[in-house]
Amino acid sequence: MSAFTRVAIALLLALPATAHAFPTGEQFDLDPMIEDGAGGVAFTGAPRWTGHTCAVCHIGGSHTVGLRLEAEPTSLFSDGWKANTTYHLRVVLRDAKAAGAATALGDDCGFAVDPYVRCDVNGYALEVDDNLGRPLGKLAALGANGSCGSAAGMDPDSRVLKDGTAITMVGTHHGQTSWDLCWTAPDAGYGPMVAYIAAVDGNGGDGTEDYPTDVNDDDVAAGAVPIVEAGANPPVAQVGGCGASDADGGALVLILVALAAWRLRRRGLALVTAALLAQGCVHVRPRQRETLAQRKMTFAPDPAEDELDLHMQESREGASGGYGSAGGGCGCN
Amino acid sequence: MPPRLIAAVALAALGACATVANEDAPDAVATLSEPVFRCKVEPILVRDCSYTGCHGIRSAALRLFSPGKLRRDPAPTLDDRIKTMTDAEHHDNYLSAAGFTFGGVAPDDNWLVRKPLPVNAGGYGHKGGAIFSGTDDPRVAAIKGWLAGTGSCP
Repeated sequence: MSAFTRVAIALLLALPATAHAFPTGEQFDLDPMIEDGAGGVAFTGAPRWTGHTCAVCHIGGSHTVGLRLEAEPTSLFSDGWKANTTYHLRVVLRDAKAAGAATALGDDCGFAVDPYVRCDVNGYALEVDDNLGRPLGKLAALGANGSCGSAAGMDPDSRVLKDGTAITMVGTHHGQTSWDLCWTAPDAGYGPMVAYIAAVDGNGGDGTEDYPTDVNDDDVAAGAVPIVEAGANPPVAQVGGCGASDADGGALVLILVALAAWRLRRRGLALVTAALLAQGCVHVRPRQRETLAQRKMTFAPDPAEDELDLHMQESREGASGGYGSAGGGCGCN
Repeated sequence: MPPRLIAAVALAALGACATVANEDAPDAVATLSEPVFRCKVEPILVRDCSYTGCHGIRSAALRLFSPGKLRRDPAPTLDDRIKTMTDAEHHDNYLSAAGFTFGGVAPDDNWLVRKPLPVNAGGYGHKGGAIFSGTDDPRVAAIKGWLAGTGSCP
């Protein structure tokens, strides 16, 4: 084997594992074991998918794209959703980097032209869930006349998953950056809902007809749009939790007391008052809990890993105990 | 104490450091059914774990091959990438999952079961979050059944 051949084989083996993507929403329902499908997973970022979005596969993007959700009537966002009302929604992929050139080509790309031209296949997925994480309401593609409620000649650009819980793109047009859909709200009483959306800004695979689509260097945007129920009580304001230093004027009173005590040579009282001033208290807003829930905020992010490390340390040093884990031995299991 | 006595005691102490032979760990793979893995467990892992940003990469501890994502052999074209799984890929997925039973870990404590659980159900440290809804999730029962040797294919 020549040196050149060996280098060529090494390079081939070192190639990144280019993977496929879902150029059509049909694949969301296909069997992942035999048909390159998702097995019904919609990747919308909803809790039932563990918050997973298209980003679990589409990697290496520049994180510069954004999303916008539009609604007609717009009262969906200003007043909230009304029972059994149908809304015309539009998902817009903003700042899609590769779309400009592809849009100029129209659909004249890919295998439709010779020589081959890279296509720009983008996509989206959306579902609307209540506070318990249940997908509610009815999703549908737009009617042929451009409005919701028309059953005939549905818009070919969107497709509802078989179980009706989410809607995705079909990939009819290249360079597409907006998709229309219809959502009919459920009966009254379900309360606030969240529209979970994820979208991919594809880059046309590796640019060759061997790989017209892949998951590398695709940008992904995801978001969750809260939608209140019209006429329902507003969310309960967060109250309680903080003491004097959070109350109006409380800190000022404590400062004055501390200064007065210091001047009267009541050092103990001054110190106690100063200690009261030093205490921290703040309301944690719901959106801030995401940060507090991150793994790096825990003292022991991986107890099993800690226990394993301790086990090996005990084995090496011939001593055990002191950290809450008992045992010893050869350290090999 | 006389120096010679100290030396004798030290030599005797060294003599106590006899060679210790490690016992072989139980061969977990031999006790795990590959057909049951293939019909009950592998579909779960491929559907919920094999994404290319997760366990569909070669460096993952639980490394999973699947159509359209990571393949065992180089796939120079998209057609190669999306073709159905080979027997070798099924077998490698089985070995990768079976590796988590090394040392005879109890099914309830196996990382395949524990890590993807919600924290309040005993889960921990899973970068991909809580994949299973709880200990009563049918997927948990399927994996535990395979680990315990009680699972069967239809």
